[in-house]
Amino acid sequence: MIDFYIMKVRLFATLRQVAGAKEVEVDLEAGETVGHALERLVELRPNLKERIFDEKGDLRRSIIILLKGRNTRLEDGLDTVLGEGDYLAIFPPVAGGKG
Amino acid sequence: MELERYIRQTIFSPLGEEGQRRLLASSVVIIGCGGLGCNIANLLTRAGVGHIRVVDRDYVELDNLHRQILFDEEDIERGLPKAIAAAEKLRKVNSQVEIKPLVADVHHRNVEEIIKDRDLVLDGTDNFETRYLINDACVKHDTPWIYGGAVGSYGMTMNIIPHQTACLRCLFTEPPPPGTIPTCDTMGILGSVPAVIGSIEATEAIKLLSGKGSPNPGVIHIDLWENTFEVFQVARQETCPSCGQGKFEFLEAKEAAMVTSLCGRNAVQITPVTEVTISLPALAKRLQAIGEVTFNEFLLRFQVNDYLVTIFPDARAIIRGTSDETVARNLYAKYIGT
Repeated sequence: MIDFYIMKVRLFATLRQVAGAKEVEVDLEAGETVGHALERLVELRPNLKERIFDEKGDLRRSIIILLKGRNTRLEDGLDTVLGEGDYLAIFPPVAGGKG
Repeated sequence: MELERYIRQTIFSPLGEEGQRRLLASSVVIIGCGGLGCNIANLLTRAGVGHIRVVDRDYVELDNLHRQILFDEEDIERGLPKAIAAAEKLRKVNSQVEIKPLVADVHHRNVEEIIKDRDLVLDGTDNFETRYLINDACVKHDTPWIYGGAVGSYGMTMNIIPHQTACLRCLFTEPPPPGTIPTCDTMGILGSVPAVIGSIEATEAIKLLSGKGSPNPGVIHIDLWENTFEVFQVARQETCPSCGQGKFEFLEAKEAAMVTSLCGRNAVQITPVTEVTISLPALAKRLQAIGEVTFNEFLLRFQVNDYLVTIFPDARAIIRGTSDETVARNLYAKYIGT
């Protein structure tokens, strides 16, 4: 049984500039969740914290988290359990276009 | 129908003459004619998509010209709405294509009529309020649409085939709270970004309408400043309120605000609740005593104190010089009447 694994978190849109990276690798233990992955992410890239969480520490409504292409907001949100081979994509909606 | 002018794309064998004939028989609506919409309309008109409707609520302004390729300085001098200026150019480009401009705000009362009987809807809007409405209407009527957004140096686009692929609410479940995401007004935009996203939307439209090629199955994300082009997958979800459960919350939001602050532009738009047509010459006559008035058949401009009020024949107004909705409402009530 594998107790620890590394998961890739891909960042898109504004989050790239804020983090200074397109992709961040986080260490996870078996049984940990999307919430744990985000905690690990903002430890590694502190600038992301206020973009992802509000003042109360809740996930901002404008942040999308896809787990292997599935929107976690339509599933168990931050409590969604992760496993080896998973990957996340995180970004805000992209507006603009007409102006 | 004459195919000679399309020879450069019909000898591209994956499309061919058969694909071209399908394009000529197709009808689309492009909602929003700014950076994205101009590029989409330009490419689809040249490609010979037979029937193109262009919907836009705004008029041409100087700071549009760095990226909105269908407009020029003369359009500003003539005070033209974007849909009208775009239609004039597009008709000169290809007289085989039927171009129908519509100067209007898209809201819950008219969105279904606007997308009805169209083979495909293309997103050239600049706000999520309209995109969620388009999504609900398109999912309800099973009409494919293409989402596109562009800000700063990056952009995203996704094809939405209702009940087959993920819809906008599978990807962006809830609208972002106002003021929480960057816009072209707050973050700026490189002119090339809507050109690239608009070109991708137009190419996907050509694939979907002709039935040829392999439409993009995921979300395309580009960043022209960071030199990236990526595709990621997004899954359709049964728990999606719109395409999974058939709840069209945006279409049904009858109380949707008819007063919209145009983010970052120091302007407020007021759309009347009832459908009316007003006579611009008659209104001009009334307002001439109070301030400076100019008008053409498409819009009327009225300068009073520090405010520039632009009024359209459907009684919609854009009030510049304030972002305060109460101030705008008062000006509307005072000079146009409710």
